[in-house]
Amino acid sequence: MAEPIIMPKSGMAMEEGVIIEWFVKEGDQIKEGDVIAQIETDKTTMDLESDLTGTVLKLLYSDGTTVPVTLPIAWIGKKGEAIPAAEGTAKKEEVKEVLQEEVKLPITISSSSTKIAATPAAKTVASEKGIDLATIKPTGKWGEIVKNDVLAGEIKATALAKKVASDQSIDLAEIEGSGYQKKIYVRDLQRVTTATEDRRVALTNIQKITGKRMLESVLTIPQVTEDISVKMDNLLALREEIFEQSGIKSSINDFIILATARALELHRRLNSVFDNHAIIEKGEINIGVAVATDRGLVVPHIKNTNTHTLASINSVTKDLIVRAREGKLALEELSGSTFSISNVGMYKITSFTPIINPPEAAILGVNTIEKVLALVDGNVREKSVMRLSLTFDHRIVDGAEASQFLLTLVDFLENPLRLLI
Amino acid sequence: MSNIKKDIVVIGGGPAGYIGAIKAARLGASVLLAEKKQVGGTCLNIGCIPTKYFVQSVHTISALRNGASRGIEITDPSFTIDMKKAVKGKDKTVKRLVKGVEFLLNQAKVETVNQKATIIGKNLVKLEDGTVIETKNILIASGSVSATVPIEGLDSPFVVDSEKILDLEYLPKKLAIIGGGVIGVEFASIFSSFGSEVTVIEALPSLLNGFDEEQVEVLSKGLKKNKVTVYTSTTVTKIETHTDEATLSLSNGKSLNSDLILLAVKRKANLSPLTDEFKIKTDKNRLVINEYGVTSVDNIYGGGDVTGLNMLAHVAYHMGEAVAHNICVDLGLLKTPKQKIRLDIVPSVVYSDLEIASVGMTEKEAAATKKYDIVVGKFPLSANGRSLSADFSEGFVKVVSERKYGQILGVFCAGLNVSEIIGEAVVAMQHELTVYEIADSIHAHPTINEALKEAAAICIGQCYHWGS
Repeated sequence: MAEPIIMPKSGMAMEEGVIIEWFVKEGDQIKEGDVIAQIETDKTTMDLESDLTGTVLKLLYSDGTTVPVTLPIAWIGKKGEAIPAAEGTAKKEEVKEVLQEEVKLPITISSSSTKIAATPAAKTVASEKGIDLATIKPTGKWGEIVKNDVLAGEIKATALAKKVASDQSIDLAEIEGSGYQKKIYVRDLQRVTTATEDRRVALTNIQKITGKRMLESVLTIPQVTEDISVKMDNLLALREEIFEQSGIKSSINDFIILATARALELHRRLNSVFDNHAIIEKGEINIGVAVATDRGLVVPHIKNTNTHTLASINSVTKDLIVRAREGKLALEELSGSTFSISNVGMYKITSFTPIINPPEAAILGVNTIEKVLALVDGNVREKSVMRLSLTFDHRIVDGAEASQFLLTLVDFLENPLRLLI
Repeated sequence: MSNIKKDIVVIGGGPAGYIGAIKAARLGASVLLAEKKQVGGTCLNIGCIPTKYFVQSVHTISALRNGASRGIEITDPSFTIDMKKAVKGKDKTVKRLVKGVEFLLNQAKVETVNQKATIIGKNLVKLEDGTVIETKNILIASGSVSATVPIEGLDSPFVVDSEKILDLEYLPKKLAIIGGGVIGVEFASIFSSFGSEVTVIEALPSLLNGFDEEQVEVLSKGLKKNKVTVYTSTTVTKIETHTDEATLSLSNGKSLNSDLILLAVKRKANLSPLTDEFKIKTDKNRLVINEYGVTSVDNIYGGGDVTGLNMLAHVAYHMGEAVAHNICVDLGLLKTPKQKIRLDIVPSVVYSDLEIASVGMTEKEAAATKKYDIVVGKFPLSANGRSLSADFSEGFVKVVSERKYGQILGVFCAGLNVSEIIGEAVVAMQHELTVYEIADSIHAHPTINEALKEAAAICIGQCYHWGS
């Protein structure tokens, strides 16, 4: 049976690709792994390898055509075989439908979004030698990396220098070695890390993606940040009481996550995504928790946060943080959050402007708890106050709505017993 | 004024001088080498080589002694040493090597003069016969001489230095060695094997100061087997000369009689090429050079023992090569950057029937830096086939590494022929191979060398010939 080759989806953000050039024509025999076309995405140009073996029955689009991802662009089968009649000219509308379903929330990490064009031989050699293809300069006709590029680009460094560079995230490609034929020694790395000289530290994949997404967020989303104060005395007292009575040591953050989930239930608009054509109020409330790791910022989420109890939020969060720092999170834990929380309270920060994790509608910044003097019944009393900083997408949410959400949230936090019901 | 003009005058024909001269000449410089004795320096004439000649005799004696257990029946097991013949044999070897150096110098067209030389100006060197040479650069490689210590009666005719003892015409009955460093220990091993009754007197708390304690232990055992008496933390307070022998009074209250006393304390830089006419900076009686080998005068370089940095022939070779390179850069003969003298990874070896060989930081030194999570892999030679088949079960190879990257911080060996395996450790350390690469390389079997692989493997828990 004839099978289609589809426009590949290289990275969650990719919606369409351009067929720069077909390298095969109808009637050609191809086998699995053959490069059949060059495709351009919004990020890069890449070779499209066939995952099928057979005869090219039909090329559905000519060179230069933009085609939505996952749509068939060619049919491969036995010579003379017919292709399914309805295929070949998929309607744009259908395509959009597919896309909307597909617009689950973009994930924070995606290894495929950094796919690099390389020949199979180049990939094999690189994998054998443990060389990162991203460090290789391509010389292939179409900008792809060929085997020789990998061999030539292999950075000459001593065994120890390689280990130290990898450990300290030093990019060997940026270093000129002092040894024979510019071989890199540890002393050359140290030159990079001495205090008087600039130090160049290669971005981790997570940092690259986070950076791109944060930039995209600030450049494309009209963001507004609102601060509000919360009286924390009741919550602190309750937390103490829970600990005394049950031995469960919940954190302030657990209360905030739970309160936010409950507030989102009452303000669904804050739990939405924007897809250029519509606002999609998400069914699930999955709160993402920003975790700083050695490799960069990751935002794993607690699925259906609103169904959790204080105790379960505590254990789930702890587990997520531990695994985030160990780099052991599953992809699905890193994609699909509907609202994010970023807590900088432990750093004594009193206010900040968090950046929205697109395509979410808002992000809640949590600050430190401060002791302030307050007038209570005409007497000066010491009170604990915390500020929350909410950034929201003004296309989805307006100021009144965001403020109402904050008031609800503050109400939960100031009367935390309600969270336990 | 002179009419001889040279690119370089090298003062001293030892390891730093002759290598520097040959290299510079091969690179196209016109070189004159002034040597007051014969080329080859302390190492070749009165140091490393002649002592190794005698150490080989120690091995021969040891082999004779072990013969019986191997079924080699020697009817009359007694032997005596004919020192005259021994010295003659030593001289033959030395002469052959000196000829070799002379050949290399000639081949490179280095003009060699058998004269003392002094520096009388930035570009002027005066020879003993009054000839003044005008030169663009000067390499001071005048080496070192035996140092002395203030001991009452040290002018006794029974006292010799490490040079004179090489030309003895008789075997001393009782040899007292003042100084338990490398020189003292080597001579103690040689003469105790030859049949002398040897006593070593060392001022510091242990023999071979600076070496790994376990290494010193192995060599000490060997000396003990040869009935060498060792006094540590002890000094000689007085030497009284009698007709046939001298009496040494020791700080520990003891006294001993000897018919030969070897003064084997430190060596000191030979600064005789320096004159009052033209000042070059010295510090604590050594020639001061920077990392490129340049003295306080920009066209005058120094290399080898005269710099007092690390008085070893192989260090002198390295300095000679680096300095010749740098002078040739000055002369425009080379277009490459100047070379630094690196003395961070320098092996050292002590010879006796068994040897000790070291490079890098000892476990203690590494711990003192507080920079490393230290892992030591020690493989005993009692588990090494080559060593055992030669009747030696003493010794070990010890790798001091750090856990994080497996970096090799030091290698310390003691045992049969271990001087021959330290080179691998030097290459590994210099070129940053870690214990992982050493453990992963196939080493020939059966060799002593294998023990280095095993020690590296112990560091990463992958040694299958030792441990559990």
